[in-house]
Amino acid sequence: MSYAPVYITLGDRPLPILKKIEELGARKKQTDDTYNRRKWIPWLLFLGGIPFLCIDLVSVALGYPFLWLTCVMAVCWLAAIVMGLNLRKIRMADFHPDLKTSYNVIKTLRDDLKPQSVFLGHIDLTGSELAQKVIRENKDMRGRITKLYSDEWLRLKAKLYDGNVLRVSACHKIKKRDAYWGRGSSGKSKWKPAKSKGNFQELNIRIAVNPDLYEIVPSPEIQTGSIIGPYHVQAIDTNGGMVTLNCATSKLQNVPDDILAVLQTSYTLLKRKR
Amino acid sequence: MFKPAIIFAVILSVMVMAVSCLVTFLGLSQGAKVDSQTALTLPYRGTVHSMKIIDLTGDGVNDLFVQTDNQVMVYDNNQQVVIDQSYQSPLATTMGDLDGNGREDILVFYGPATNTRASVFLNGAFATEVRIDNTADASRAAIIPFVGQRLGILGDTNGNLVAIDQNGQVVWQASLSSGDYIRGLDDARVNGEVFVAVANHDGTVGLFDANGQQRWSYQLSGALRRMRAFDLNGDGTSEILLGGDGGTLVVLDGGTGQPIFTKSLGQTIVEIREAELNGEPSSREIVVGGRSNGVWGIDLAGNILWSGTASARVSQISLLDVDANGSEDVLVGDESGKVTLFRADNGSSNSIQTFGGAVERMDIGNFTASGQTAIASAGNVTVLKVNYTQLGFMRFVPLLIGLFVSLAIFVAAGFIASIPPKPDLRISVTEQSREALIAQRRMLKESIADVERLRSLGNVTPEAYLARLKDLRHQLAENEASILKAGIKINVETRSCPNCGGTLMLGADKCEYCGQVVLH
Repeated sequence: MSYAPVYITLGDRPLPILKKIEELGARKKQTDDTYNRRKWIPWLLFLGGIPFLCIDLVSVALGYPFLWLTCVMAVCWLAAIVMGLNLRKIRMADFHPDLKTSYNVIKTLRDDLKPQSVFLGHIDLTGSELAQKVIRENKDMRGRITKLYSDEWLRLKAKLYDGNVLRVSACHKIKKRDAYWGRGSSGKSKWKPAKSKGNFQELNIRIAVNPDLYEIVPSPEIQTGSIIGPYHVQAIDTNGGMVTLNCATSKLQNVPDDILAVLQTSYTLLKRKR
Repeated sequence: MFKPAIIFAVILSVMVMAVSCLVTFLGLSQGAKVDSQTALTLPYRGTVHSMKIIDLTGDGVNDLFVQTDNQVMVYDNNQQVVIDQSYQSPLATTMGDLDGNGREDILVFYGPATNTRASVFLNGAFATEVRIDNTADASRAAIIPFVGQRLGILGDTNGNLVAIDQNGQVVWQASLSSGDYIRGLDDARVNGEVFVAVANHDGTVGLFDANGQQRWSYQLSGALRRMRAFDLNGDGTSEILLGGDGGTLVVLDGGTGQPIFTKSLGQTIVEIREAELNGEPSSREIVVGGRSNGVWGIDLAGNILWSGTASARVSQISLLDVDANGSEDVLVGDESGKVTLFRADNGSSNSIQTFGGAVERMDIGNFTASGQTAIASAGNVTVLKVNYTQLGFMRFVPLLIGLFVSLAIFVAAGFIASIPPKPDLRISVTEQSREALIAQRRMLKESIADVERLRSLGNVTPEAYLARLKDLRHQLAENEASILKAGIKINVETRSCPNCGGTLMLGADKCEYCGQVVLH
């Protein structure tokens, strides 16, 4: 399924960001409504031109070579084509569900942000399988190319109210073999379609801990191999005053609660100093 | 204030209305149809070489004269054969008032060189027949009303001319050129005085007076196919129109034999007629038919008024004012048997009827009814009436159509102008405060460092690295611009590649995207 390619550069406080995302949704709804309300008009104009042609054909059949009404038909059809093309231009695919996920993550974190500071980063929903998102490319003995895509669709950095610096990076990783012409056992060449060899979501969280307020302690809730919602914790690093968490899930559809649950659980590694 | 679509619609509507007004008020939209109704058919044998609707019996009612390879026939108004006479071929005939009684007579010139004869019919009855000596085969004949005497001029296949009176007595003999046949004989006027213009197939053209004295001669390059004499401008002196294999229409001054103009038409000219095409009665125009199907309307200055194409080689041209507007429309018969009407004003064509064989001869006149057209083709003379029907209200239809089209244009423009624009899908939500901009800058530098780290680890393809770096550096350049705009002092770290416009880090001496060497 294809989605509208949205890219939002974040560098503002939560409310303007949320407002902009809501505005984007409202604008899409407006264009969708306009399209649905008007899509029949070009067709009507197209059909409306046909009677003019019929009148002309009848007049020609009666011996009057009068083709002016065909011009009206041509204008009607031309207008219908121009209107139809203009209408098609505003037609948009739906937004990726991860836009809603990002919106909810920002909305949930909005009260935890340090006053006067901003969310930094991006929401990149332009698509996963793009050339600039290829991180590795292998060619096997048969010349088949397998590509590994890394689509960091959410990158967020925020200075929190408690002095910690939170970095969130949500990444969709895809391993895919490109389509190719293969030769079967019968000797015939066949077009083999692209094949997915792996598809998973990766979530990286890094918290630069405010040493005046927190100390890092082990937590039974979060260890390598633990499961938080759909995420499996792959690695935890608490060295250097920073908590670095690497999680992955094969569930492709992100739910904001899942990301927020990992965030919340990562805070169990921090103990407030007295 | 106004959207471009509305401005465009206004301009387009003005243009549409201007064109529709022009079409309406110039009467370009006639809404007319042209068809034909056959009145009768009359049979003949062989090929028709001459045919005319003319009163030959003196009863005040037109008859139909038909001359074939070796036969002369006259049908009266009741389709009864009045004259049916066979002759030894070759045969040439002409009609005119030879005895000066105001009635049309027939002069027949026929026979091979050994026995050429002239036969005269006066008032629809045989009058006399004489042997013409010292001539080659019969080729052409014409009755010329010279001042003081009316003579029949006979032309043979060796360029000789013989003038005879109504009794068949030879008045004078002359020669235009030898070795080829007389192709055209026509009466021409010079300052009101009548002469005979003579054309030989070899291209020689001459003007002879009533005594057989040649006034001038002209040599057309190439074989001559058609010679006609008309006083096109009404000055009392005829213009001699010549056409032939050279494909050039030559118009001579009848008085001097000097060309008035020549017009190259690119194909052999097979027929020439004078016509009133533009409705301006002070001058006549010329219609020319070509061997390669071309039909032209030409004015006296040599300008082509219109041109058209028949279905096959043009064989006959006649003129008929179908819509009674004072201009003569052009009926063209061609060798495929099709008769086409070309409108006098613009040359637009309407097919009238198609016959089973080539159109051999065509004439227009009042035979059994007024304004009939007689067409000889495939063994039958078909007499038909060309009808023209006009729907008066159609004239204003272009104006209504213009209004309708303008309305459609405005509806379309309003439709387009009121479509909400598609939202921008690449947006930047960036606070312009000092802290936010500096933080964003730091974040971008982190991202650039990340990409470079991935590259050093080999975790990104060179293409993806460049693409991501280009995007991040572009954002960094935008951030720097915003920072500078906000009045914050920073060390600018980016610059644009003069070749591809990509953003480079300051100090780079080669563009990573396009390979251009960057000089500082």
